[in-house]
Amino acid sequence: MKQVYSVLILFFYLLADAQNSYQFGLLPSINVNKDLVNDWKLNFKVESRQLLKEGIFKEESDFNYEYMQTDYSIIVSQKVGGNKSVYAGYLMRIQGNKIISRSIQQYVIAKQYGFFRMSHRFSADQTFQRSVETEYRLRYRLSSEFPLRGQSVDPGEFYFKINNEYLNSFQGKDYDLGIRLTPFLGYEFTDSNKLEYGLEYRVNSFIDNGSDTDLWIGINWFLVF
Amino acid sequence: MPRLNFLCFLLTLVSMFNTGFSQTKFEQEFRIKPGDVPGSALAFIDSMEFDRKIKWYKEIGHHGKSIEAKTRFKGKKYSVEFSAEGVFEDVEIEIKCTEIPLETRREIEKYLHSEYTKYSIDKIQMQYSGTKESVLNLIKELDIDTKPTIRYEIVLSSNIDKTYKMYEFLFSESGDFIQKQEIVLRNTDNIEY
Repeated sequence: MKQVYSVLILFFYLLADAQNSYQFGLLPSINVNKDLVNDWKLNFKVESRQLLKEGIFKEESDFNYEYMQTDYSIIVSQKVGGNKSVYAGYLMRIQGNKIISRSIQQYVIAKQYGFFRMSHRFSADQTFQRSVETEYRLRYRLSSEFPLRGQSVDPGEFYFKINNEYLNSFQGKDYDLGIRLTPFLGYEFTDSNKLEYGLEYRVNSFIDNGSDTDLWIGINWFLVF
Repeated sequence: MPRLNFLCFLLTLVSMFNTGFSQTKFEQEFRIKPGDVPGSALAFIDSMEFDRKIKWYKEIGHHGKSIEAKTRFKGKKYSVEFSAEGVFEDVEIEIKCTEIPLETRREIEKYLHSEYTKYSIDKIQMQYSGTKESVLNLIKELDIDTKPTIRYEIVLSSNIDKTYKMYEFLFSESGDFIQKQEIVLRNTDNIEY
């Protein structure tokens, strides 16, 4: 696990150009799921972003805690196959005095392949904000989960999860590409109670010369009722 | 406002702590070293002359403990099961649908069509059980006097009463239905959201 973090941090610095800005902080989230009848499911998520450090690479900057925002989202899903589901939802972001709204649509294929599990998530979202042009995004995320012992993750066991996501953003006449790489160490208390800790590495404004590089320490708690 | 939001986030976190743990079926399997495997199981695997690395697992479930050896042989996934004491139980080989003899396949399909209007097959395993010698001879493609018992284990998913379910079926060598078990699916929320 230490090697994974070392490689990621090295990757973070190698990509960092003198002109590029960065943000480093905390991104904890709680993910609560409720199974309904006939394969319908509800998902509530609260994710809070807190900044610890920001600046331009190769320039001095101090640690400075700053609360940034909290996202509240609700997503309803329906299974459309043994391992395929469609999702629709709404996210509300509270950022200072601003409220940002986002509608979300997703299609996910999640399957067990031998000893590991993998999911393909295809999603689209539209972000609405007063006095700002609507942002449309098309996203694809590949997630894999590997047990750290045995052939599958069982209660009381650790696992390794890695997400890789590509985000295409369209806003007015602008287009941008974002890439995210997220390695996590997870622990399964029970099948319906999992805790994950890891890093979320994001490169935004990928098409522009000066990219934004973010590194968030993520703590995700997944619960099912 | 930001402080209030962060407080809401913390309160939600704390309030869920007591209710987050629920009862689920306890079943664990974990890697073990060859040194922890009973000699009889090791000797049987040696006699099979697999050419790739053998991974050993111990499984603890409601039916007690068992030991499993997994490997690939001639391009197929093999799983050899033993009791905790090392007594041979069966060999399972993952196969494609077309590898089931035509007559048997027709019988199996006839049965499944009578049960479900639509289904999708996820995995098929051919299961050999019986004496160690008979199974060994069949795998090594040697002439055999006593044939092992051959069965087909089929994992499929189907929509029943507007809910997708997964089942494990067991059929005889001639395609007769033996048993059906519902598979309790693991939660996939952490790779979906």
